[in-house]
Amino acid sequence: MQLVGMLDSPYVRRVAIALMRLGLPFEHRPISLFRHIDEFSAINPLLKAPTLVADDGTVLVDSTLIIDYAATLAPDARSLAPRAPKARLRATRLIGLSLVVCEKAVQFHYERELPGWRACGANCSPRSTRWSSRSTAARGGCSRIV
Amino acid sequence: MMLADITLATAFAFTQSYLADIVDKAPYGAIASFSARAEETAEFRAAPAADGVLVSTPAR
Repeated sequence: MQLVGMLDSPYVRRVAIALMRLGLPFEHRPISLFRHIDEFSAINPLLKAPTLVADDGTVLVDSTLIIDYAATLAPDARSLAPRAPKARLRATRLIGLSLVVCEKAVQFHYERELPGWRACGANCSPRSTRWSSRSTAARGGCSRIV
Repeated sequence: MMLADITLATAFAFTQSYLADIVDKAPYGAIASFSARAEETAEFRAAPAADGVLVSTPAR
């Protein structure tokens, strides 16, 4: 199992820590979405960090989905989520709020520190082209599964 | 430590790393001390919030 992405992303970091807490071995590949676009794209053309490459080669995206899958592999039924409804409700609320903090903070950081991030500088296609190619890649991935 | 704890602490660390000038941690004393304790654990130390750093102990 490989975790692809940089630890300065709170999403990559939460997956890395969750995998360790679950007792799951993994290979971390700190590949940048900004500096190593070709290398990242070869692993996941959707260009999403974190990316998890499962042992059978299946590529997963979205930190919550990755952790949800990884939890099924955990030894001795280890879990990072409370089972009791009331405790689960509190935990789910807290996770949702924290993820909104991440989302807004990451957006703000990008807007401020990477003013060209919408166009991704000279090394990247314009945003509309990027959107189009990733969307096409995602649809292609779906049609291969269904 | 559960996923909610991990997510809260990693979110807080990001705001403090990148937006400390606009996110004042003073009103969030409980979160700040909770996060400080989380950052002391082996797993958080193994995965520092830094660009280009490799997870140091991927498995226990």
